[in-house]
Amino acid sequence: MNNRLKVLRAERNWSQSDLADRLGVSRQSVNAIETGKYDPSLPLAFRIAELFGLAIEQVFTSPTQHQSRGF
Amino acid sequence: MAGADPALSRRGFAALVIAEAVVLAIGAAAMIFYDLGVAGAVGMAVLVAAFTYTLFRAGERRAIAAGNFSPAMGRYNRRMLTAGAIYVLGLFTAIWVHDELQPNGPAAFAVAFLPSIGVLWMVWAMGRLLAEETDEYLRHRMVRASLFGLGTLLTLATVWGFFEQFDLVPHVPAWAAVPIFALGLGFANCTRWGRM
Repeated sequence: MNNRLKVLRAERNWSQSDLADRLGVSRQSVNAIETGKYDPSLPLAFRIAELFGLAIEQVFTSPTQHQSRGF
Repeated sequence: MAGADPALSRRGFAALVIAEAVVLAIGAAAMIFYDLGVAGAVGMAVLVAAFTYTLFRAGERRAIAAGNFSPAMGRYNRRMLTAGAIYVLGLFTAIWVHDELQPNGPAAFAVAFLPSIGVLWMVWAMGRLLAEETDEYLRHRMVRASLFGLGTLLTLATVWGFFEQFDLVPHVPAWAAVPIFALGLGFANCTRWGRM
């Protein structure tokens, strides 16, 4: 699953540790999600989206949607 | 303080795990093939306790440095150290009572059960870690590493069991199951199988 976590974090000048603290997860979790090594559960994905004040689909995009749009 | 000393690199930690595993394996083999008596048992108990402590300290420092340390992990480490101490105490007591008092019947079973208490405590601690870890990614990694440990144990037990059945290899006591599982788990944590 693709995501814009790194961009959204950079826009706010947050480090991975800052984001991890705000989400109540480990820095490793943020890194794994950001690099696409781990897909978060739906509750955590909602928490991430709510933290950035965005809808979940504005943070995460499905790989199939990503391909069909020709990114 | 946990973060006072520098954390080992991944390779350094893996080297520590392998070095300790090799020393313990040599010690276990010496105990199986030679009659080392109480001195051998005491030596092994001290080695196990010291290695357990150094591994957990090194693991904790690495986890803190890598940003994947959690309160549940801290509780797990303390429980495992407690379990290690109980194991050493139980093993000492059982060996001494067995050699000096030579109990029979139910008492013999009770004495033989003593070393298991610490190991069962460790199994309980591993279960509690999975139940108490609130970080879903860390829990996911633990489950993967545990499955790798289980796969290692099942594979080795099956292959060795049949080798043993055909008199090709010496007998390995069943209590080796937990150390083998732990080695598989540790190996997975040090490699891509547990990190994903």
